[in-house]
Amino acid sequence: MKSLLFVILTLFTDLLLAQESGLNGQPMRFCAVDIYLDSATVPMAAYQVEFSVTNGVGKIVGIEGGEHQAFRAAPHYDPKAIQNERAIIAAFSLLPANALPTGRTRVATVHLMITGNTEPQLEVRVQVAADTQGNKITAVATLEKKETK
Amino acid sequence: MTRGKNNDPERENLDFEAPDRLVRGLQGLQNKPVFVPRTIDEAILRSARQEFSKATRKKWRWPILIPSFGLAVAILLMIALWHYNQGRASKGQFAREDVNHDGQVDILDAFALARQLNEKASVPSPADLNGDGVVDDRDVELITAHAVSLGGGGKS
Repeated sequence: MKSLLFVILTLFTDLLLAQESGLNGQPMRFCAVDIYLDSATVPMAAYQVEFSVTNGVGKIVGIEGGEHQAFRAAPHYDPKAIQNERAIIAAFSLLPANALPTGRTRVATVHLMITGNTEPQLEVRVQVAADTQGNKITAVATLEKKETK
Repeated sequence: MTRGKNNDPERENLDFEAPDRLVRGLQGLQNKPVFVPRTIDEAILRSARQEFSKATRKKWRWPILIPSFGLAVAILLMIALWHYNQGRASKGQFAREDVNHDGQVDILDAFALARQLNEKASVPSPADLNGDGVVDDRDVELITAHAVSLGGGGKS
């Protein structure tokens, strides 16, 4: 009975260690990346951006909504983006112009799992952004990374 | 192989002795030098070369060119047909999702359809993408899914 307990404890410990250090023995950590869009003075009603980890050291593990009420709900993305290095993230809001964000606003947060000590190279590209009438507007995308674990 | 006496009677009739005067006369003809001026000689050679080159060109040009031309036409037709089919396929696949007709299927198409539904405007039947007979939020979702798909596409 004692030996059985020992085997179970050993396996459990190994599993925990494997999760902490990754399957190939490399250190693993998590971080969150905020995606900001700046539409200057124009109320932004819709956006679509492409986010990617260009050096292959990180994988997307989750995507959540932004800070403004218009984009607080989780944005749209392909489920294949999870455990992938690239995602197309998009959302729109039917709120009136006075309830939409102007200037710089956080529209989404991407959670990454990073393997190894190399810093992930991140890239975001605005594919399209629009005002309340669906007219294309200019929006500038920026990223802010914060370590979570 | 040695040549013996000819036993063929027909050939025997051809073997005859020519008169000596005739033989000498003919031999004398060959010995007489014939003077051809160099300019005439060259002119004859030039014209002969031209004639021969024409004949060579005529002989080789058409048998090669006709199949080559036919092959080129066939290849061009195949390329044109392929482009035509590609255009039709892409139109059939994306045109209905490209609600704002900007040539791209993106979030703005979903947004345009959502706005039409929100304003209770009459929504054209081509927007019924899932074919359930109703244009509603599920069609908006379909366009959105297409817009953010990682599997390529996007162009209308």
